[in-house]
Amino acid sequence: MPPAEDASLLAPDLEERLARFAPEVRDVISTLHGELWQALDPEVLELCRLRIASLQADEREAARAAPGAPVPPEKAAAISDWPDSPLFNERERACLAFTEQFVGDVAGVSQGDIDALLAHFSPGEVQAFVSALLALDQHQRLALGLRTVLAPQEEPA
Amino acid sequence: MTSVRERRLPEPAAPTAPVAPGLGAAIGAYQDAVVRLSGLDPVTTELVRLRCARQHQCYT
Repeated sequence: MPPAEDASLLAPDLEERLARFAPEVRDVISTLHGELWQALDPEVLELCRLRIASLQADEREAARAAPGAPVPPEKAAAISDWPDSPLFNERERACLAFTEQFVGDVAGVSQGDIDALLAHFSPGEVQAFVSALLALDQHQRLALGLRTVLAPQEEPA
Repeated sequence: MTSVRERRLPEPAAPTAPVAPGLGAAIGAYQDAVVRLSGLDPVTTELVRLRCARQHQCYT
């Protein structure tokens, strides 16, 4: 399923802030997010994007139109319950488990986490997936960080 | 002290084309652009980079 017409590669508030403060970064991060959806099945990456948003309690990121490939609404709603939900297949589970470890403690990624991915993907695909995950995670941390730091100053008195 | 980690992804049996050829270059361009920002002086930028590396136990 293609992304919605109103989907943007970057969170709109992040894009606007980068355009003001660091337009050169806005340009390269946009290119990066145009590339990352080629790394793996975009529906799997979209599930990972949603899981990162739920882990970061980033409701805006969770609610915005899917920049990659939309997933069924019932699946998106069940993203935090993926270990117990029958909606997710083994391939998606391996990616979501890896995502949780990556976001929570990247240095703690174990060989078992990697082997779980290798059961479904080639080494090259695993490398591309981890690179895509890095970009998705950084995007959300940057958007959330700038929102937290700058939003109070931007509010009208 | 030099820390060397064992390879955690198997070597391909034969050369293979990269899965997402533009992705690595795009990450590199992004990191280059961030490091070149001038809002923060280079020494403070480097201190932040080192602090992030230590936080993530990245010793390479």
